[in-house]
Amino acid sequence: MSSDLVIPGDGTSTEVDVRRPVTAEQIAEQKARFERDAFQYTSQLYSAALRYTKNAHDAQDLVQDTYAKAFTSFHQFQEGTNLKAWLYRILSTTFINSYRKAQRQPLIGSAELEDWQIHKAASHTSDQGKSAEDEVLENLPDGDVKRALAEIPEEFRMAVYFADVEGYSYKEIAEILSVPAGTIMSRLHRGRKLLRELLADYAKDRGFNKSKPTLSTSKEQKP
Amino acid sequence: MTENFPGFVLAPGAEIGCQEALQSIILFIDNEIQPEFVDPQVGTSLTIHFQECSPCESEKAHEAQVVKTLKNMLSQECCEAAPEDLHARLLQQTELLAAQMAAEAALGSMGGMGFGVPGMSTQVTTTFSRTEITIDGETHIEIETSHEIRHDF
Repeated sequence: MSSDLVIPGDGTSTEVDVRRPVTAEQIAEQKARFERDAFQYTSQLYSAALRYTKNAHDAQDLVQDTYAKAFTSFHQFQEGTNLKAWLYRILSTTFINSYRKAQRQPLIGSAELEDWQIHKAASHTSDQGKSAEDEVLENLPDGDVKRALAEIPEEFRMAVYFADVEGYSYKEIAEILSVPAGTIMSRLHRGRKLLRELLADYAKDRGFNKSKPTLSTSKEQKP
Repeated sequence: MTENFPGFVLAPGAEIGCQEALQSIILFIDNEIQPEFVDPQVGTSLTIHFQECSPCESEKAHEAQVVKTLKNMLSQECCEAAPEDLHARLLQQTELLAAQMAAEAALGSMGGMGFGVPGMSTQVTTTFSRTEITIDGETHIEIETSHEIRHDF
C-alpha cells in the first residue's frame, strides 16, 4: 500500500534525510514552520489521544511525545500532503509502541477481527426495531456516546473516531492506522454496531421507556 | 478493485439481491462506492436495487440517519480542548529540541568547536541514547537526550 504519510523510521530513503536542517537558519525556519503549521492541531490531537489513553495525564504525555517526534522528523513531512493526518499517524504509532503495553489494554485477537464478516445477519430491520433505536438516540443524555466509545475495543474505537469525528475516508484511516482499507470498513461496521448496542443497554439500564421521556437520573454516573 | 474488502467482494456481473444490497449500505453511507473499491457495474446495480426495493431503501435511510446522529453526538462530545499548560509544554519542548538540533549540527560540522556569538566559545556536551525497535518489519528509532552540559568561555 502506498502512503503519502512518511513517518520516522518507516523505511524512508536517505534522500529524505538530505532535507534535514543543518544550519542555524534552516533550524529556525523549520521551527517557525512547525509552530505555524502543526500547533493549530493540538486540541484535535489531544482529543484523539484521550480516546486512546482514556485519561488526561497520559493523553497530554502522548501529545507531547507526538510533537517531539513530529518536530525532529518534520523535514520528512511532504509539503502539500495532509499534516494533521501525518500527526495522527505519528500519534497512533507512538501509542501502540510506547503506551499500549504499559496500559495493559485488553486487545481483541486479530483472528476475531479478521474473521468477522459483514455477510452475517444481513437482514431487514423491522419498523419497530427502527423506531425503538430512534427513540434511544433521541433521548440520550450528554456523555453517553463518549462513554460508550471509550468502552468498545481500541481497534473499533479508533476507526469510529477517525471516520465519524474526523470525517476521514477509509483510505486515509488505513494510512493513519497502518492497516488495509477493507479492515477499516469491517472495524467501522462492527464499531458502530457495538456503540449502538451499548447505547441501547444504557437506556435499558435507566429503565427508559416511552412513558418516561424525561429522566431525572440521567446525569447520575454509574460507579 | 474489491480485493481490499474481505467483507464485501462482488465480481462484476454478480447478481444483486437484498443480501448484497444490505451489505453494501455502509459503503453508501461512508461515500465509499468508488471504482477503487467497488466495480462500477456493481455500484450501478446496487443503486438500481435500492431504487426498486423499498425495504432495502428504508434500511439504508434508517442506517444513514442513525450514523448521522451518532456523528453529531460524537463530534459534540469528543472535542476536548488541550489544556493551556500543554501548549506551554509544547512550545518549551520545541525550543529545547531546536537548540539540541543546532548543537548537534554545530558539533557535526565544526568538530566540537564552539559556535554562537562571535568572539565567544561555547562547548556543549550532550549524551544521546538511541533505541531501535522493530515491530512487524517496521523499525522505529528513538533518540533521547539524557543531558546537556554547556560551557561558555
